[in-house]
Amino acid sequence: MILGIDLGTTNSLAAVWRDGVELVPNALGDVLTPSVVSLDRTGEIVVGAAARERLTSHPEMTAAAFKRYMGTSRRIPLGTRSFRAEELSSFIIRSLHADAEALLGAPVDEAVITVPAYFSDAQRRATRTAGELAGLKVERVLNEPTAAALAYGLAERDTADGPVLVFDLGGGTFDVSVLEMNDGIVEVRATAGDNFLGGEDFDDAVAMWFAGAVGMALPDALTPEGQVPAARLRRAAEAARRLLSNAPTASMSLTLPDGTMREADLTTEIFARIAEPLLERLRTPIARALSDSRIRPEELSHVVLAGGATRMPIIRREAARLFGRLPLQRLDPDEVVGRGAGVQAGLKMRSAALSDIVLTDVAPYTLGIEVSEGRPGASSPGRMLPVIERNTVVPVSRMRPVVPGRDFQRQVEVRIFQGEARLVRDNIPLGSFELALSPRRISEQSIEVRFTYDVNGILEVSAKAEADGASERIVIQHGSDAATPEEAEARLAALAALKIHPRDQSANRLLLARGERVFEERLGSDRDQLGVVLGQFESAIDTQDPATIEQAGAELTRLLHELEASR
Amino acid sequence: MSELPTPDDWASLGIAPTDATDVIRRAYREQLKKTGPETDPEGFQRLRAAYEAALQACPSTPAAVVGSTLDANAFIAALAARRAAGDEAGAIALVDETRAAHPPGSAASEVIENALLDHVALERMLSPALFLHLARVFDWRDTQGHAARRDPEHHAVVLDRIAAEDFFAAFSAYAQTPEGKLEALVLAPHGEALERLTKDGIGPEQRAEIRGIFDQFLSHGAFLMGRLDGGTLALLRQAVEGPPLLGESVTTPRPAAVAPPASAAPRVVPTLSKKTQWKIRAATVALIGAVVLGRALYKSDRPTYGGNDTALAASVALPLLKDPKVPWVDMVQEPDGVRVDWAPVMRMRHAIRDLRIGYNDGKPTTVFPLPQFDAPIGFLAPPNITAISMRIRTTDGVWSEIRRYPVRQEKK
Repeated sequence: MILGIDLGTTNSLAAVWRDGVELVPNALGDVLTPSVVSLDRTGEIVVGAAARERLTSHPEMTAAAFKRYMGTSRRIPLGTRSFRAEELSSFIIRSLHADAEALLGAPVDEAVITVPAYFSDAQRRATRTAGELAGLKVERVLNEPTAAALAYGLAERDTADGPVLVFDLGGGTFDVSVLEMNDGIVEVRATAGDNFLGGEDFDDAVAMWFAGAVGMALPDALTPEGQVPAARLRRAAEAARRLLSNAPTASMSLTLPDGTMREADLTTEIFARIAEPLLERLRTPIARALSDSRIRPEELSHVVLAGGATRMPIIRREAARLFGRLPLQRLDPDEVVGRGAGVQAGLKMRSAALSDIVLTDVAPYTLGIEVSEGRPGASSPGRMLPVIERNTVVPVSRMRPVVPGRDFQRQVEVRIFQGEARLVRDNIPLGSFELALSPRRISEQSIEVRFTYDVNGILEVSAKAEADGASERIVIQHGSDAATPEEAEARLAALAALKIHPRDQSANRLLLARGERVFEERLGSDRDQLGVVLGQFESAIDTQDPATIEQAGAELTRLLHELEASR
Repeated sequence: MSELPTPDDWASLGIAPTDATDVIRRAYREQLKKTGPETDPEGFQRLRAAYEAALQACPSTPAAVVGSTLDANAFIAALAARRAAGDEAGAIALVDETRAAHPPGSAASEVIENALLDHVALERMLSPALFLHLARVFDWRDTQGHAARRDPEHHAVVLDRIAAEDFFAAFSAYAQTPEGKLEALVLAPHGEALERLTKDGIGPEQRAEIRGIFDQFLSHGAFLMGRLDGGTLALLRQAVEGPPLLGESVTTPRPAAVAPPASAAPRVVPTLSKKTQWKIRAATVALIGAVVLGRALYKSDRPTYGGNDTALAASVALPLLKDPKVPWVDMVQEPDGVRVDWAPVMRMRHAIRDLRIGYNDGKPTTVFPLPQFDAPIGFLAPPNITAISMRIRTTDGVWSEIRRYPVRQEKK
């Protein structure tokens, strides 16, 4: 069985194919699992909704939105420990994996994981690693907008023929894909995007506005004393932003560490103003994708919205304005990518129901090498020579002939880059290798550089000297900090030793986390009262007696309800 | 990619040769069901290549930029009016409004972009702020986008200006920092520059740095030279080249004043103390087409070429230097004095290791530092100069004969 996974910045979900796409509910019965990981006092990993509650009560032990650091060597601290983004992601995947096995009652050992189309090579590899760290064989890394299109292609099979634009604004990334759907064939024509534009940026903008409006200093989440206020401010900003989806005004309030309360009203007008610079950034990737696909916006048969951030009215309005038409949103935007991952899992399993579906995808970035250009004696080095141009259909293999810089050169360094800028210093380095040459004149020396790019976005580069047939090749690894097999093995063992809280305790975990969050937010007698009930609930959990736990849990639930209602 | 379809291609597609795009498309899709990228990656690549070749050979229908009622000329005229009135913010607003009125990627937005590319983008007088705004909103940094596809050469010039603006912005920002004293000096108006120079003076290392700065400005062509104060420029050139070369101490040449010590002289490294940058720029020799960076070149301690250098390669210059018929300098009597034109020797400088000069009947003992960048070099010498003597050690280590160049009375 293959599991389809949408590993999102804000939420993740899993889907399986059983004669159709089925979304996998987690232990709480929700299909969305917040992409939040926390370490509790016993050293156990808490994932999902309970971890999300702990963002406010235990920010120093909790991490969210770590997808933004995929493919970097940054370590995200959780208490005294620290993890790479792919390690934190692996905890989410482990949790989704357990949910799927509980649903199916059978082992699952393979996965299809979606990534933003605009994810780089290193980010894709990190995603693959996350799956492997969770003990799954990653069959395929699939572009999110392509997954969204697959889900729509299947749902709207009879009406969706023609060119379609997928507008996918998630928690942290924005992707645009232009596809052609035709009788079961889904051809991606072009993809563009912005890796740093998503719903989280709108929350940041609201938080910044609030701080300015009430005259407080913006707390710095990177300092120990700033963590709690920053987490609370973000939570309040997000709540206000969500409220605004259904109301013209959302009142936003925040209790400062000194106990004073600040309030401000976020109106639709204010939100439109502060969101303006972010909306402006939507335009460039759309223009790029359409221009590359040679399809005019007026020729599109549908504009499909995907990603949770497209729930925002302001985004829908902007999408409608940009295309001069109403976008299609028949599927839940939070679920559409996950559903597509499920379809791809079905395709991988050669499901009979999908036998006539074929998908072709493209390379989202230009890939090339560093060269010099110009006349002899007036050269400018550091130029990018594209070998595989962006939006080339994959898999693909392309060759470019090059020559060394001067006569009798003994070796060349082939430096590989990805990106659309003219100078390599503005592009992203992927790796390099050296090719030894038998010294000859330039006119007698020719080198063939070949790039091979597969459906998973994995690149292999080889170079061959024509004169003597010497050749070198490289499969691009994560930059310089690639792990050796032994290191990878050790990491896997270290992570496996970390226990994730048991599934059947999820509801209690969530209740406890919620209680702790409210406790943090309240002062005075509310706090004292809640402290007592929380203590009782914790001791009840320790007894492991279901009846005692249920009773203490009911008491806590009642009190929380009361406190939240009295606000 | 642009090859004509072969019989094998048509066989892959499973159709007889045709130039009907819809037939080709249908055939491709039909074959895809058997030869998908997942099920048969090799076969799929052949199929895809066949499909692209077949489509390429089809008579292309001209790109339809029509279908837009937008009057590009009126837009450009309105923009010109705001610019002429000095209303930069208004001009930017007009661009944004016009752009916002049409969907991204639509025919109308392409008409606007094309008009701006053709009529505005490369105007010398276009303000940096407006230019950078256009480059940003129309994504002109993108080397694979619409602007590049439409006219690569034109777009290359746009990219040159973007590079110039980026350099200037970074340079100006650096000039604001405490480390950026020399950069600030270069940007200062003449009066201020004179004051600072008089007060602080500049040492040999700073001279080299200023040379490097000039080199970088020159490498961005004409885009930036207008942003420097002409007076400051003249002042700095004089400061960097030493005291007026031929105007002083004809009878008692002072080598130290003319140049840094002999050992250091010929190897002035023109960088902003960013040695790596220089290495990268200088260490690679180019060939039209493509050249792979050679590691061996990085190890080379003697950079040969750099920047927009039009000097001759050492191998070409060497025999020319030794040829008595090829002059090294030209001294011409002009109405306001003797003009010394160094251009010939500068063009051959890559084959020169040392250059010594003397005045009138003196022996050529004064070390003359060679600029490392392509600069038009000519001086007006004082009237008591009647001849210049020169001796050169070429890169093969051989000292030349002493040559003497008297003033020619008539202009060439």
